Amino acid sequence: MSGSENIRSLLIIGSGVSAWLPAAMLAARLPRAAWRIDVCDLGDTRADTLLARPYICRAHDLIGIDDAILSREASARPVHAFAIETVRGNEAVLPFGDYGLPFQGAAFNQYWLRAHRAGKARPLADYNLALRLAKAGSFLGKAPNGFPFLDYGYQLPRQAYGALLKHVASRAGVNALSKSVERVELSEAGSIDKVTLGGKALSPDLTVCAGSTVLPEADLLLRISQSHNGIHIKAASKLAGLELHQLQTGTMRLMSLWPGDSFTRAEKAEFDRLYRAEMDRIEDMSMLLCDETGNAADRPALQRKRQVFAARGRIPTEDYEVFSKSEWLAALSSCDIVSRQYDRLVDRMSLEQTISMVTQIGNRVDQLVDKNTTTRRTT
Amino acid sequence: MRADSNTDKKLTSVVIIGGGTAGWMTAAGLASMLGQTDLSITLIESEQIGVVGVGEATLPHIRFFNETIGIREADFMAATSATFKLGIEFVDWGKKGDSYIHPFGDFGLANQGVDFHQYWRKAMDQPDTGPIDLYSLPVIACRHGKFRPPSEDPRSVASTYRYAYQFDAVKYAPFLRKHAEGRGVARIEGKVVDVRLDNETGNINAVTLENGATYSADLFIDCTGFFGLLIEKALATGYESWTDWLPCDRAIAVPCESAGPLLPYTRATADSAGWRWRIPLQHRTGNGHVYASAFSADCDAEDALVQNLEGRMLADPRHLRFSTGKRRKLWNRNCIAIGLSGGFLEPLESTSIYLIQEGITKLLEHFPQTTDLSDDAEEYNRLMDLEFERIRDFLILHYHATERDDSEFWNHVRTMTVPDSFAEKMELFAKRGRVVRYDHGLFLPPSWVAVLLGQRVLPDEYDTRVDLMPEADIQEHMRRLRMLMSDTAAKMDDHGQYLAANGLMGAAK
Repeated sequence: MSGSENIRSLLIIGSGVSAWLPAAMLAARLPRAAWRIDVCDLGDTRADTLLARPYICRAHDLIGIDDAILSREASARPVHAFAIETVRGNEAVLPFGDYGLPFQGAAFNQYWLRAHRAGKARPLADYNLALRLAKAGSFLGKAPNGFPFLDYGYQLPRQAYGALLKHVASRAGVNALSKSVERVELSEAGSIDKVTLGGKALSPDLTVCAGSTVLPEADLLLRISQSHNGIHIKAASKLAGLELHQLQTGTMRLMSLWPGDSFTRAEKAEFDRLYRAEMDRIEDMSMLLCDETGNAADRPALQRKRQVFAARGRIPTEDYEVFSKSEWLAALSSCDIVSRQYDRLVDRMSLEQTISMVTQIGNRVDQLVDKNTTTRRTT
Repeated sequence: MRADSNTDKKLTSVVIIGGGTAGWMTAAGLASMLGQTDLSITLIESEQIGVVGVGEATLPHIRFFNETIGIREADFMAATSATFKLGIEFVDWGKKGDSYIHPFGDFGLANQGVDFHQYWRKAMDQPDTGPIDLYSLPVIACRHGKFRPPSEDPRSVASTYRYAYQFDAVKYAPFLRKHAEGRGVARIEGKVVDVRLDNETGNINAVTLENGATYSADLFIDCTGFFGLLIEKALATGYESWTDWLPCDRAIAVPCESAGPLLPYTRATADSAGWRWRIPLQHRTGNGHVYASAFSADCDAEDALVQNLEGRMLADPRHLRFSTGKRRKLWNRNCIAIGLSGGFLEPLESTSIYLIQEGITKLLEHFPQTTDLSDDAEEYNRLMDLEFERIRDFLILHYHATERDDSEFWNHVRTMTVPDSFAEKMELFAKRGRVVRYDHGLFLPPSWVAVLLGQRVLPDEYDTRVDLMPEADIQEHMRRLRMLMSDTAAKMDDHGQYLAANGLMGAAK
């Protein structure tokens, strides 16, 4: 146990961003007088760029970093959409914003479907501010009232972002320890007794492994995740934006289930249940866009999305969705799935009224994009 | 192969069988939302067949339904002798002598992502903290018989609750009938004596009435109550029984004269083999006893009900039999079961009319353009199954989380085997007050907290994030909340006076 009777110790093992994002978040949430947080950063030399989904703003708010700091310290670039190379050889561009505006209980794409069938609508992407701005290389932040919902995420150079997170965590009192794990000893009862780092033995009260951490023994991660006082925050998805997302949501789940002395069976089960549910939703998207077999037979939720969308342009949702309906709409459309019908609710309006409404929204999006692009050019 | 959309026939006709609450809510909902889409809506009902008239007590969602179909609150309340409802009082559930209210609103205010009940759990042993009820405006209002519509200002503590109605369900159907007929619904008086199926598809082709008239449609809605004329008698859909976990299978209903002040809440009092309801309406009080026939004789259950009436009995007690559960498919072929024909969950949490409303809402969302119904039916069934199952788990909680050991019934439900997922939910809360959250489903964490705490499931510990706030600050925050709740409740109106002063009282009948 920890050296002091009153202060308990948390050890976080990860690599670069995967160590420092949980460390910074937990340091902001745990009482400093009660917890000592140590980080074993195994290092990460990758020089790639990470995508952060809009949801990351919750983590940033928590640890006290804003757009200005991100831009200055981590060379962050805000983005309204991101592209995924699909297995079909095309590009699926998923927006951080909605297609048009809903009306009288039906989504905009339902009205668009009707107008499109009549040959009176442009491509659906034209009605999405996020996609239009991304295509124009322009950025608006949030949309004014009366326009389709718009949000943004970031492109973050991994090394710079990792350094920023380390700086924030260190300022919050987190200690950086050795860069290697030599040994982890577990008791017969299934608790982590001792962790040896750089020749020094520690007895943390809780141990968190985060991301795809490589440890000296092959099954160590599994044993830590199964122990009473250890947990593994997995970030297993290869899809853009999901590494950071899973680190963030895993840390938030850990915070909401934060244990006293050790995790109970029910707390572990709940942590794992939520991870599995999140991973299921991510794998659905991955299967749709990136799997060569494209076989959704053993993924009922994905099958449902494909079938219901093909039948009537709706996106059925599950518990714990990760991607927005607009992202699914973009992804399904990129697979050339064309909806056979539109919602019956749309027929309350005449075809002429439908076309007029769709046209008006398209024109307003045009004007806003043009104005923003022109403003950027002149400034 | 699926038929191409161009060759599918456009769906143009709906026939609803049964004209009780479910039938006329469905007719009014469809007519209001889809009446302008070349859809003919016919409702067939027989005056010879009585209505069950379920769901005198409702949930706040009904306000949205009424608003959506264009019903004015004042008209509705006067027509159905309605009162306002801020929650349900549960008496004798955790232990004999206990009483708690499950309110339509939150307890306190969450702070930094940590639910209020976690702060309360830490502070509960402090002398000033008091019961968690002191931190819920609707609970305080209920206890004092007060009512006022919630504020629309989200910064106000008066915006932290919602309200529903307690109304005479037998009057709701005729009220909706007028509304629906005004929007083009055709009503046919007659008793269905035959249902004709298509030999090839198994779909319902037509129904025949006693007078020989035949009515065909693209889509049929079964609102025939427990009988399930179309969904079961004709289509043999099958029933999934949940009586292992919810053993009550009988109900007796009886109205009595009002006694005492008009209370803005429903009361559910646990009895030796079930529970009794008390629903205050403008002109009378609705009463009932839900019980398990395996643990109580009908005559004993009736005695328990009648002996506990607060006023003079106004009609003979009416006996109902049911089996808790749902149809294996609520949408089977070209037939959708809405209301009691689809399933039954005892009215402990006033979910009967809510489930009708959800059936209608989801039907509107998935309403087919053509007669190719397979995809719509599958998704509709999935969503409705989720609704039923999550309500079922919440109802099980009321029976299972008890210390009562004074009857065979309570010993049975207290010790019965529950689903693993349910046991994990209980364990999670019992340790540190965590509540499992879902995106779909009716009852949100505040409801689980209300019932769990109300039935003596007190977490061993609290969420350690509470320690981020100094203890003195927590005390001060809670003191201010208590005062705010109490002061705000004091400014609310007496419930009965509010109804009278705002022209909401109908003619007494």
